[in-house]
Amino acid sequence: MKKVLPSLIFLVIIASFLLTGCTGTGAATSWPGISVADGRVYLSYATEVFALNPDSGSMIWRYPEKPNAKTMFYAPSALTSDGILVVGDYQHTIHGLNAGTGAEAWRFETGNRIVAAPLVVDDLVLVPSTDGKLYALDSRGTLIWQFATKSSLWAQPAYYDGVIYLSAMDHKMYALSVKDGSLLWSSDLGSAAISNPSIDPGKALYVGTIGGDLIGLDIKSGNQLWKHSSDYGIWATPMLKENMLYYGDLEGNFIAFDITQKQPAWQYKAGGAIVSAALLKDDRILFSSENGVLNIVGYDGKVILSPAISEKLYGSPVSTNGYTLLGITTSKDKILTALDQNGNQVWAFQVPK
Amino acid sequence: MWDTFIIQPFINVLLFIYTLVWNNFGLAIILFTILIRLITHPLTVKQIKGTTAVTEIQKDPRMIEAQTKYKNDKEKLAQVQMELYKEKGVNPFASCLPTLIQFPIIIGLYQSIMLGLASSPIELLNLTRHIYPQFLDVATLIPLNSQFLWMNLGQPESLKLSFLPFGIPILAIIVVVTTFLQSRLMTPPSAQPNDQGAQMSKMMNLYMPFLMGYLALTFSSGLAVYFVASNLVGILQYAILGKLDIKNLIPGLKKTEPQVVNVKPSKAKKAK
Repeated sequence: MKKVLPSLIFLVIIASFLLTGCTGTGAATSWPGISVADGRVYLSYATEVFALNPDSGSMIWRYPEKPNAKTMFYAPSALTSDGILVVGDYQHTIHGLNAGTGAEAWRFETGNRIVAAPLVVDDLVLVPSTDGKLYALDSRGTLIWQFATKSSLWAQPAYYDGVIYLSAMDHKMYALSVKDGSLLWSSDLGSAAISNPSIDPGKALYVGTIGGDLIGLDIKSGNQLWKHSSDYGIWATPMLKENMLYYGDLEGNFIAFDITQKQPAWQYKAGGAIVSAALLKDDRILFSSENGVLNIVGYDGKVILSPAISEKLYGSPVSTNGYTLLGITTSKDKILTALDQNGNQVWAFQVPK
Repeated sequence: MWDTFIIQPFINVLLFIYTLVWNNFGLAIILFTILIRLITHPLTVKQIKGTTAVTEIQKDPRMIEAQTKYKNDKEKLAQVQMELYKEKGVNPFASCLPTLIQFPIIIGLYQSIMLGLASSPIELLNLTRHIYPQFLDVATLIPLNSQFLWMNLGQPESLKLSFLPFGIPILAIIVVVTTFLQSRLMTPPSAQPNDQGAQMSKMMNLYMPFLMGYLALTFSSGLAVYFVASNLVGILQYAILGKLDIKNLIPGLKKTEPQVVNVKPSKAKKAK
C-alpha cells in the first residue's frame, strides 16, 4: 500500500489539474458586479459580496461570514427602498441582506444560476434566473409572482409605466404587467438576447442580439420598427442619448447608431470585444474592452483617453462621487479600481485576506 | 495551437452532432464519444495487442525463472526481460504510445464538452469564439439545450424525489459501477500477482472508480455522461475484440496462473 499511495496521489493531482483546466473552475467565470446605492459601493465578486466606502474604497462589511467555495457572486446587486440588498449567486440562490450591516435577512431558491442583476420596481424585486424564470419578490423574500420563459435569462429587465421588458435567451422580448407578471406581448428577436433592453420612453425599446442584430421595437405592441444587422454579436446594452444609441460588439467595434437615420453615425475600433454597457457622461463616453483598456471617447467618436487598466476588462464602468469605478477580472492586486477624470487611480480594492 | 487543432474542431463537430440530434446535448456527448472511440479504435487495438504481448512475456517460464533467480539484481532481470522482448519482437513502449496519442484526444474531448456547456458569461463568450461561422450559426445555436433526461448537464447531477429530503447522485453511482466493471473486465490477469506492478494495478482498479465517482459528483453532469459513455464503449470495444475477461468479476473463477516453484538454473544457462 505504501508503494501504491504516491501513485494514487499523483493520479488524483493530475486528474484534478486536468479537470480544473477543463471546467474553468479556479479561473474567473465572470467579472465583478458593481452597483452604487445610498452612498455605498456594493461589489459582488467570487465567493463574497462587499460594501465599500466610495471615497476611499475601505470595506464596510463583507458577506457571508464564512464564504463557501461553491457559492459564487458575480451579478450586481440592487437595493430596495427599505434597505435590503438583493443579490443572486451561482448556487441558484437569491440573498436578501441588511444593507447597513451585511447580515442575511432571507434567502430564496431558484432553479439555476443567477447571472443578471435584479431590478427594483417600487416594492418589488425582479430577479432573472438562468432557470428561465423571472422571480418577483417582495423585500422580505416572499414570491409575489413568477414568469417562465423557454430558456435562460441573462439580462436585467427594464421597467417603464407599469410594464416590465425582459430580453431572453429563447430569442424573445417579453412585456409583462408589473402587477401580476401576466404577458402583454412577446416579440421574436431572431436570436438570443443577453443585452438589457433600453427604453425610449413612450416610443420604443432597443435591444442587441447574439446574432448581431440591433432591433427597435414598438414599446406598446412589440412590433419590430426596424432592424440593423451586422456580422458580430451584441452583448452590450445599447445606451440611448438624444436619438443616438451607443453600444459595442464582440468584434470590438464601438458604434454610435442614429435611430432617425437607422444607420451608424460613426464607429470606433476598440481592439477587444465589448460585452457591457457604456457609461454616458455629459461630455464623454466610457466603455471597457476585453484588451484591458478603458476607452474614453467624445460624442464625435474621437478618443479622449484610453488608459490600459488590466489584461482583460469586461464590466461596465460605474460613476460615483466624481470617480469611475471599474471591476477587474484578471489583475492579481485589485478587483476594483476608482479612477479620476484623467484615468488616474484614486483607490483600489482587493479582497482582504 | 491546442485550441486551433483540438478544441475548435472538436467543439464544432460536437455542436454539429447536437444540431443533428434535435438539439439534445446529452445525446450529442454520447455520439461524439462513440465517434472519437471509433476514430481511435486502431490505436486501441494496437494498445491491446501490445499489452497482451507484454503480459504473455510476463507469463513466460523463463521470465518467471529470472524473476526468482535475479530478485536481488534488478539490472540483470531487466536484461533478461529485454532479451525476451527482443526474441518475441515486442516493443514494451508500443503499448504506451497509443495511450499517449489518445490522451490529448480524451482531454480535448473533456474540454470541448465543458466548453459547450458554457454556463457563465466568460464561458459563453469563449464558446461563441470557438464556433466556425461558416459551419454553424451562432444565432440559432445559442442557447444550447443542456437538459438531458432529468439532468442539467451544466450542473452536478442528483435526482430529487418528492419523498426524499436529499437528492440521489444516480449518475455518479453509474460512473463508479461502470468504471469498476471496465477496469475489472479489461485488466489482464497478472502473471505475478504479488509483484509491485500487479499490486499497484489492483489498487488502481479499486480506487479509480471512486475517484471517477467523486469527479462525477463534483463537476458538471455532462462530464459524467461522457465518463459513462466512454466506459461502456470501452467495454464494448474489448468485447468485440474478444478481450473481455468475465472471470475477473468472479474471484472464484480466476484462472490459475503459471508459477515456477523451486527453480534450479539450467545447465545451458550455467555454461553461459
